[in-house]
Formats: sequence, C-alpha cells, structure tokens
Amino acid sequence: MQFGTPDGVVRAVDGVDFDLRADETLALVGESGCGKSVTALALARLVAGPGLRTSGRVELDGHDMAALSEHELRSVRGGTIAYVFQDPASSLNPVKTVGSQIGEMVRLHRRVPDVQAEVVALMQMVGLPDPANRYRAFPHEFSGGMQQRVMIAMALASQPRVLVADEPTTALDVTIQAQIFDLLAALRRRLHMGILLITHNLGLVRANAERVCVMYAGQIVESGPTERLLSHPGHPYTKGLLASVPRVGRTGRMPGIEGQVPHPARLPTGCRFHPRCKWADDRCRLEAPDLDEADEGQSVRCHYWKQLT
Amino acid sequence: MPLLEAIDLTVRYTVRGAAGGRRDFSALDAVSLRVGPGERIGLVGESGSGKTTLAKTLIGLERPSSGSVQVDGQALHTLDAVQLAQFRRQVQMVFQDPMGSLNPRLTVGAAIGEVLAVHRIVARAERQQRVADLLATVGLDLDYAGRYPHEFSGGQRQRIGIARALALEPHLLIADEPVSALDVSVQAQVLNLLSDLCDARHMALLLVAHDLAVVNYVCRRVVVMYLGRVVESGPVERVFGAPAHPYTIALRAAVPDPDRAIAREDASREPQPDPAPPGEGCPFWPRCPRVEHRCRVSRPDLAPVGEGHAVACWRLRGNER
Repeated sequence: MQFGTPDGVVRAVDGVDFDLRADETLALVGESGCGKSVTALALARLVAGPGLRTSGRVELDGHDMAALSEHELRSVRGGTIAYVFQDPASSLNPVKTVGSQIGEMVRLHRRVPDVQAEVVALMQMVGLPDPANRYRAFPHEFSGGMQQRVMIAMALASQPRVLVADEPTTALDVTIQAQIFDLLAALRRRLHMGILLITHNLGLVRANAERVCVMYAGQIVESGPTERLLSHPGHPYTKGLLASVPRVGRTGRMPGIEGQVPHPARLPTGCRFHPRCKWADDRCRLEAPDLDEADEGQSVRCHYWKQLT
Repeated sequence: MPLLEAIDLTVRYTVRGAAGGRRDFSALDAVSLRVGPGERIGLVGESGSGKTTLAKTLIGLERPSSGSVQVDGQALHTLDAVQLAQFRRQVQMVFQDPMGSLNPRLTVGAAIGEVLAVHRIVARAERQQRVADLLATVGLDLDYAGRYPHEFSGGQRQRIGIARALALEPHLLIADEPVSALDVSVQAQVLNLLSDLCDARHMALLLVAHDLAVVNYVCRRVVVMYLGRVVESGPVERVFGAPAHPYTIALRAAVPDPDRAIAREDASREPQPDPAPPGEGCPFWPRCPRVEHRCRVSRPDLAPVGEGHAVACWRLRGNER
C-alpha cells in the first residue's frame, strides 16, 4: 500500500502475506509506524486517502474481496470482519446508551425478532454485569475495562468470522488486560472466529496467540508458531523486541533497541533494520534480504539468521 | 532528613451517586510516604488506586483533606509565595502524555526556555546555551530546538518533557506513567535515561506506574496502592520476589511475560469494584481469594513483615485482632 504525502511516496505496507484460520489467533507485532494497523484496516478495504495505490489481494473464505460490490463490502465491514480498537471511550458515542449502540449493530447486520433480547444476550456473553438494567446506561458510567467489553459486544453483534483486535488492552490496567484476553479466548472458541491481534508487546503474545508475524518498516521480518518464535527468535529485531519486554523481578539496565524506526518516506537501503542492527555489515547495507524459510514453520528476513541463532 | 514526606495524607471528594445522593469517597486514605535524597521509589496500582492523586498532592496540586506534606520540616500548604517558588524548583513532574503537556504553538526550545525565564535562573544571554545543554542531556540534537512538538515521536516528546523538568535542576522528579504510552523498545530508552539522570545528578525519583515490570529496573523501593491505601511497601526484590499482599500477588501475576505461558491469580479475573467505601473492612476483600471473616469487618493497618517491608493484610498477622 502506497500513499502520496508531502514528503514523497510512502510505502506503508510492502508485500505482506499471512493467513488466518478459524478458531485461531494470529498476532501482528511491531512498533508504531510499522504498518500493522494499516494492514488490519486494509483487510476490509477501509483505507482511503489521496494518492493511495494498492496491490495484492485479500481472500475471505476463499472469495476475492476485490470482486465485492460496495454494497457487499458494507456487510463485510464491521460484519464478517469486525474491529475492536485501542481506546473504547473515543469509539463509543457518549450521548447514546450502550444498549442502543449494540442494538444498532445487531439491526445493521442481522434480522432478529427481538433486538433488545439479543443485546442483553450479547452483554451477558461479554460479561457485563446486570445487562437488563445496564442496557440503559451511558458509556461514561462504565470503567475502561467495561467499555472495552461493550466494544467487543458491538463487534460480536454481527457474528463475525474474523475479529481484528487492534491494541485492545493498551489503555487498560494489567489485571483488566488479563480479563479481556480471557474473554476473547473464550469467545473465540465458542464462536469459532479467527482473531487478528495487533500489538507492540511480545509479552502478550505468548499466552494469547498461536502464530506471530513481526513487522518492521512495512514488511514482515519474521513469522512462525509462537512457541518456536519466542524460544528461537531469528531476526535481530525480534530479539531486540523480546528483550525489551519489561519483566518483573529484573533489575539493572533495561535492554532496548538503539535508534528509531525509519521515516517511511526515507527507508534505508538494503535491510531496513540495518541502521539499528549491531550485526549489520556491507551486505546488509546494500542488499535487501528475502523472507527465508527456517525450521518448523518459521520464516526470517535476515541474511545472517542462521549464524545468529 | 527526608526531601519530602507525606504524613497520614487523606484526600476526600464528595461525589454524586447514581441515585442522585451524595457520598464521600477517599481518593487517598491515610497514606504516609518518605522520599529521601537520591532515593528512587516506584508507586504502583491500578487506575483508581490513588497513585496520581498522591503524586499531585505531593507537589501541591491537590490540597489534602487531612494530613500534611512536609518539606524541610515545614508543611507544604503553609509555605509563602517565595518558599513555594523554591519548592517548585526542587520538585518537578513529568506526565504520561507528553503531547498534552507541551504547548503545540511553542517550539521545543521556547518551551524549555520559558521555564528558565519564569524562574529567572539563567540570564537571557545564556538561555539558549542552557536549552542546548538540556536537549543534549536527554539525547536530542540541538537543531531540534526550533521544531514544534508535533514533529516528534512519542519517545522524543517524553524526552522533551524530561528536559523541561530538569531545567530547574530538581532534587526530586515525579514521573507519572512516563512510558505507558510508548512502544516497548522506546520504553527501555526512556527508563534507562531516567536511571542515568538520577545517578548523574543524585536526583530522587518517584516513578508512578501501573505496570510493575517497569518499576524494578529503575527503583529500589516500591509502594503498592489499592483504592487509596498503601497495601504493601518495601525493597523491590522483596515485594516482587516474594509478594505478600494478595493484591500484589495478583498484580504481579497479571503482567504478561513472554517467558512463561500464563499463571494468573484468581483475583486478577475479578473486576475492580466501584471505589465506594468498603465499609469497615479491608478495601481488597471483595476481590481477595483468601478472604476471611475478619477481613470483612475490620481494616488491617500496615505492619512490618521484614526489613523495611510492610504489608496491610490480616493473614500475615496470625490470630491477633
């Protein structure tokens, strides 16, 4: 996906391939600006903008999304593919009751005889207490964790096949974060959904996703089954990201990654990570590495991953 | 002598309840805290635990309902204007959202220079040089001084916030969730910067965070708060290595860890209750997996359980009442 910007042409997402299965969570991990959110929005053709140019395709249950009419797309957006975003307070309408907002989603995507009963059932499913009465409550009467449950209920109203959770707990406390992930896991099994989890924290991935794609500067730099990737990280960026996760009980200096993510209009030559990589040499500065297949379903975009593992 | 000391600090608000009635609610309930010179303390707890209220009360942005903040042996609210200005030079604060605390229409150089001008600590001619020094201290280039806040990344903005706080050479820096809005790899850079600055300037630090894991890299002592009360405090190794309060145990277990699959304590799955006064009992009892009868009827005070380690929990007090 390319955008025309005052700084020049920005290729925000560059040759990203992945697949998501039913009843599976795939994590898309990377820092701000790596293209993970744009990738997620592109799944439902939700990206627009001046000078946007795209190539590649998205298939949903084997059907090419590009062939869908605008009308059909509308039932996919927030319907077959539903989204939950980071900040629930800014996604909810502050002057409408939560019941009416969840009900709006039910009406938009499904025909049910009793919308209110369906809303109450959804609220129950996501663990909102006392749904028959809280139905009439406004968003500000809920805590952040409860607001995120409302957002999840809205996303589930259309019985989606794919749930995209974009940093769903970044604005929440750690204990509430654990509750929301418990809820997502239970709902996934029950509804047989695929979940695309977007996060910058590899710590969350271990317990919550079967497979991981790590993105850097618009590309997937490493992917594979979670256990494998976390125990044998191949790409220097993945190693750095894993080391940066703060751990309880550690002291002293915190390991991080030196430098900054490159500006998308001024990407470095060769490997995009080379200016921040302590193992980089002339080959890395000149020649862009391909995504190389390693063992056990793992792929790594690095010239030297074999020497580094 | 401590740099700053809070003694039995209580901050009470009157809030309108859902039924239209009014009720009192304590954001802080008899909290005591000493910050010594050069000391680094982590203050942790969930939203609503009172950690930000404590930070704000310590710098005089909130007035305590009872109790006091002592500065050099004098109560903060009795300081006169001259003393207060001096206090503000000694204690500075860095906030969570650097974008929200920087004026979008001031260049970074002007924003830092403004602090120097207001407190009249550097002659006008030397101001520019001082701004350059401060930017260098936090790892930013001099030519950034002419740019505006929106031109920076989140991590850079947080560095600017830190440079601004350092302009007054404070003895104590209070940082309220300074890294929770940043990417993990950038979090490390900012936390290491704070650590280095404390070392180099012998500056004390009060680091407010909801994530336990960020605290142990920087701080030696940690204070855990729950619904306005301190429930556990002590050296970082003790509190995180062998947490004693059921709330600390739950908080510790909830931190996502890439090295272990998951082992969550049940309390982390219970929603945090409405911050209503939990009657006479322990504030944590509705979520506590080990609740006993006495927990519901009587509130445990902080009691020592080891060297510098104190816990407010009946379970650790045997059968005493």
